[in-house]
Amino acid sequence: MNRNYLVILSSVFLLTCLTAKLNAAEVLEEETTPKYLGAAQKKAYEKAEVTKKGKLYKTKYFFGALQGYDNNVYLDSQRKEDTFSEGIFDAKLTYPLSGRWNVFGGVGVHDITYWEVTDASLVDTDLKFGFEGKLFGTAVLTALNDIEIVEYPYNENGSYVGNKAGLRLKHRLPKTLLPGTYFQSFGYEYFYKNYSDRKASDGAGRKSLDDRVDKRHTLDTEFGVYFKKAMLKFSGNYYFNDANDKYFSYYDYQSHRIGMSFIYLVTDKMTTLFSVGHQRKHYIHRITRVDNTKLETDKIFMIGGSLMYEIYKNTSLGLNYTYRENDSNDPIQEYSGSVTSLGVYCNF
Amino acid sequence: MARAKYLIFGLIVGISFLNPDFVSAQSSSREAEVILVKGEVKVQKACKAEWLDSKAGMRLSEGDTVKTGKASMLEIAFDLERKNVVRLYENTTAILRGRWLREIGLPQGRVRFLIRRLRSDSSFEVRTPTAVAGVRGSGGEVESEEKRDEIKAFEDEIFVQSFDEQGNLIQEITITEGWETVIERFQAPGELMELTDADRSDWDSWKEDLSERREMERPPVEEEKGPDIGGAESVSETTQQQSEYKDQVFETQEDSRVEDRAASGETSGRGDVTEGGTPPPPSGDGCGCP
Repeated sequence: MNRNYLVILSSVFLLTCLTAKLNAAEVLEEETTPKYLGAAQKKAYEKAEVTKKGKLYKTKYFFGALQGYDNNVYLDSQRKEDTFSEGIFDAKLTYPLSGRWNVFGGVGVHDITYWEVTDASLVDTDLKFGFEGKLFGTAVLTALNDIEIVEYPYNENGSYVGNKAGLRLKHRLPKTLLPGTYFQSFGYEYFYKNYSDRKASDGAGRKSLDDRVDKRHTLDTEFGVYFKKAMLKFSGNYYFNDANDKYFSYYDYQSHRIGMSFIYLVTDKMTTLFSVGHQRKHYIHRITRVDNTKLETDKIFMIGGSLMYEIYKNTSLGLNYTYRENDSNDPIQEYSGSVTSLGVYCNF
Repeated sequence: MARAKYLIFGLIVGISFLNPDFVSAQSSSREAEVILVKGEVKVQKACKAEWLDSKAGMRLSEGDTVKTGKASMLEIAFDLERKNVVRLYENTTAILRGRWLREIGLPQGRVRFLIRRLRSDSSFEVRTPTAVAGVRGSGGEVESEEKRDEIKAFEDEIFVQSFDEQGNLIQEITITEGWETVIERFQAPGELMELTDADRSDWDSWKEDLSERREMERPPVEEEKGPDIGGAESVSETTQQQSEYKDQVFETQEDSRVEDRAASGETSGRGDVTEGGTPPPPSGDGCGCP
């Protein structure tokens, strides 16, 4: 037994000495031989670079806490109004893979709690990850996958688990050529939604055994310009929603949306936002209830405005107002409603 | 109507060109920007007597003189993307020359340059008292001492001209990548010598460092916006998201409408309706009216 210990101890000692000797030899050679001088410098440089890169994680956080008033919660003719509380949390972490490519991931939780009309209360949880890379010049390609769980705690019909996967190419034109910084982007997104507590209807309007599933293909584009104190953006969006609900293919429709938004820094602390949009939904098979020879078409008009005031560094107070109105060729679908809210936002 | 369109277009273009950003963007190509300062570096603006402390971000233009002290260093970028960069080492005096800053006068000291973006018909030159080293897109180094100049070509080729006391050209040679030459004052360029491993390694390190700093100092694309409106954009996105939630709530309510329609006997005509066309009257007892 003792002999074994001796052998092990001797081996460890010998190995230690050998390693130390090898290390000493390496250092000596690098320090004294001009041949290795460059390599040693390079190695030291690379080591410094690795240390530097370790600090390149970038994080972004966004918090919001709001209190608001909705004058038509269900967007119908009954016009049920209610107050609500809203909480938003978003976190994003970006890690550079190389000089050109980044990998990023993020989580987001968005909660809206209506005080009385609780059917509309929801919790939206997002888990995002993707890659972004500079392709050429100032073009950035982003590949994104977003797993989304939307839960309506008091109305399970609306709850779903979704997965978005998409590509976006954003291009910024050099400032040297044009006033301001112009940008444009094009994107495609596939959105799969599974309503786990809602069954699809068959052709007669009876509930089938299958969960309702929606598949949405979206193409969108944006272009705009950043000025010294403002940003103007135009956007266009087309999507086709393909659901497995068979009754009048109730949820199969094409949507076209155009919009414009404008952000202006009034002072160093005050910012205004204004947005306007128009969306048309053309249902593929759903007929109107007043004229069974016509397919339903909804024309939705949206307008919104916000006034934000920075109360502390990275913390702002915001007053928001949005109005939307649906002018449908099926009167039962027509509505108008507005949401007003006041909140605190933190962004860092 | 057509005239009005042209008028609006003309106005937009006119306003764009009047924008101060545009004017400064045009003039910025004739300026260089200080991107790195270490130690004591002074700048004397053209036609001015006083020497100013150099700072990162400082703009330099034609006729400006830069002087670096002991253990000091300065880097200047000649374009926004920092593809054309010059580094001035310690105890160097350099003067920016030329309308487009394509020339550096080097009475004394050592400069290193990496020139990647030049118009095809132009060149970048470093002039010592008796020699000129020029490139049309490459990397090199010029060191001007009291009695001699040393010129190294790290990338591509550098043309070198040496002059006598009267300013007459003695000889012009081209140094290819990996070689260097020494020119004694008022003599022809000496024999070519191969660059050492340490030289090459030093050059590679500098290039990598430049590239890394370019990436680090350049704000992420989303932040290159001019105004800091990141918070406002987040709020805008949140509002958009809220609109989608409203869509969802509205759609959830539609489910009860489906049940109402089915209960009233209205049956789906799916399969019989052609897209974009007129659907046939629904079968069954339902009239299709509420």
